[in-house]
Amino acid sequence: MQLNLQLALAFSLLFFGLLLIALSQQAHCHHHRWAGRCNSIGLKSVGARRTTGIVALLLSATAMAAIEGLAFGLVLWVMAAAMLAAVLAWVLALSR
Amino acid sequence: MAWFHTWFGLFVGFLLFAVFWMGTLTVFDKEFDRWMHPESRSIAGECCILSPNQLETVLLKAHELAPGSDNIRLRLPTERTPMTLIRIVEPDRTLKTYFIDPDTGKVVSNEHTLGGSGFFFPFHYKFNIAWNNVGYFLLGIAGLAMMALLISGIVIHRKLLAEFFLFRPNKHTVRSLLDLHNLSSVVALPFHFLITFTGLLIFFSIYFPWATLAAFDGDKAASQKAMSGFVNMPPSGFVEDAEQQLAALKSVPALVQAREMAWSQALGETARADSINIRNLGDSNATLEIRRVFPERSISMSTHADTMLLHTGELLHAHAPKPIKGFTHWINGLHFIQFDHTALRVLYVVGGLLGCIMIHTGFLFWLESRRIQHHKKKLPGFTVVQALTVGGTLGMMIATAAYLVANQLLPNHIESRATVETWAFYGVWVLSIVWAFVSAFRYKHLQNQAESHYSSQWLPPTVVFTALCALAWLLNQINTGGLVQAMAQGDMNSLAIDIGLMLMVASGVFTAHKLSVSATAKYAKPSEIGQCN
Repeated sequence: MQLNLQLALAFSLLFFGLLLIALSQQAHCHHHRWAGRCNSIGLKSVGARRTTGIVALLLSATAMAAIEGLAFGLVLWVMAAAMLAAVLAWVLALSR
Repeated sequence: MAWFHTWFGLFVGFLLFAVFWMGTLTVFDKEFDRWMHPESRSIAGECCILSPNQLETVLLKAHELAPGSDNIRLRLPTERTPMTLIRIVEPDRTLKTYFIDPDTGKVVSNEHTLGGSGFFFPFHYKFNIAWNNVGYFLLGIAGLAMMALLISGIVIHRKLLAEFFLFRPNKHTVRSLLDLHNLSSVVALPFHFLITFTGLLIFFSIYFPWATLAAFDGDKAASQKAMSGFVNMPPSGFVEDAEQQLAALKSVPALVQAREMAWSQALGETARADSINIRNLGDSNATLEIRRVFPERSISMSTHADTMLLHTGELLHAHAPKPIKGFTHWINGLHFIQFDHTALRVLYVVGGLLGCIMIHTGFLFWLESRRIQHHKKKLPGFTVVQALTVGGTLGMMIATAAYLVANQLLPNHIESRATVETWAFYGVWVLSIVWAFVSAFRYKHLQNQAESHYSSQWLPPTVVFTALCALAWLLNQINTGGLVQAMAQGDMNSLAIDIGLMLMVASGVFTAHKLSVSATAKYAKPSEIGQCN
């Protein structure tokens, strides 16, 4: 796998989607750093963050499947989502 | 459900940790092979396609190495194994393995180390217990238990979605451990399910052999032919002379090319053979089996397996798996992770490490939530489980690092070198378990504070593991040139292991620092701590 622009974009979308879903949850919705940034781009309500997050996740899955092929793309998406979710939980915990 | 999850997890957790830890290492088993066997790192010439002339040279060399052998098996070079692997079954049925560099003609024995694919891999699927398939059945029990534990874990974790990203490291120890246990389980839940389920499916025919045989009226040969394309042609009894045998070997490259062309035409893309098996070479019924086990851009394994008569070139069987078998190949590929996708394999390693964290934090949660209760009631459970946890988890990691150090320290010429390496692993593992028990019983009188036990139980093994990883890395730099040499030659295989060791050292230093700070900052020395009566 070569890291090209499309793939970098797909990973960014995946991370963005996970971050938005995390910020829609009770534990992180008032996060001192990220919640403010979310509000500034108009994603103030829990529903808006969650919907945008899910759309970003779906887009990233579609992009990965298109770039890497259906099988590799979806497996890559599942594994990358697991790793990024763990990283995200760690980062959010340290900056709570 | 909570009771089931707790106690089943406690009893099967040690097996599961061994499976997950060794499975994680096995994702990069070929890279471990190259790192532990520097002579096989050759990257001379074009990687990794053999020309017909080179293939002929390799076959003649294999015949020269064991003229009396009638079974020659080749594993053709790949980026992860840049030399051709020759396996020869000697007339006394012993197996000899060599690496040959087709560019230079250099032949090296592959028997002074088991490496990753000869030790970590079988440990992962049968705990290196060959007797009566006991290892496979232990794995089956562990796999079934893992499925049950995953389902019961989902049932008892009521806020699975609401607390998906929740980790509170600054809360009290029990809360933080439970958060980490939940986090490592839930974020990688699809991976845990997938890897356990596919693992169970792979050995289905060992657990339920009669189920497969029943479909073929008990005919094992027919079932093997239908499932994996294996054709066992009985010898005719007519012995071919030496010249005829050499001529047959020289015809192999053309036969391989013909099959590759047929596959490529059928698929519409380039398809290459990656293994060759010649049986009954001296007989007129000698067969040539050409396989394509690991296609370049596919998750599936074993997509092609064609068998032909070696002396005539007549095609006996071109294997076309039925759809359900094709699906099994895909499932196998998903679990074996031998596909050409490095990034995805790295993510599998992350998934495996999350599994190890899940199991380890499960043990720690059990311990921390019972520490006070067990001390008050003077129950031995806490001390025993703590010792088993240290020995079964960190002990195994220390033994792995010791195995790598032994590989670097032992001279190549000593007899049964590969066995000595494995004894280094088992010896260190047993020693660490013994130390864990001695240490646990020595400190069991201490006050019921987590950190007092951390300092006595977790810090020394963490330091030892980190030191051994650093030593293994350092010895590789001294013995083979390490990072600099690997980068100069573009040898990504040994470079990957060197980087992995450096990451292990970094995480070990971080963990040891955290443990020592928390132990010294909050609590006095063990001698100053009151004893519980």
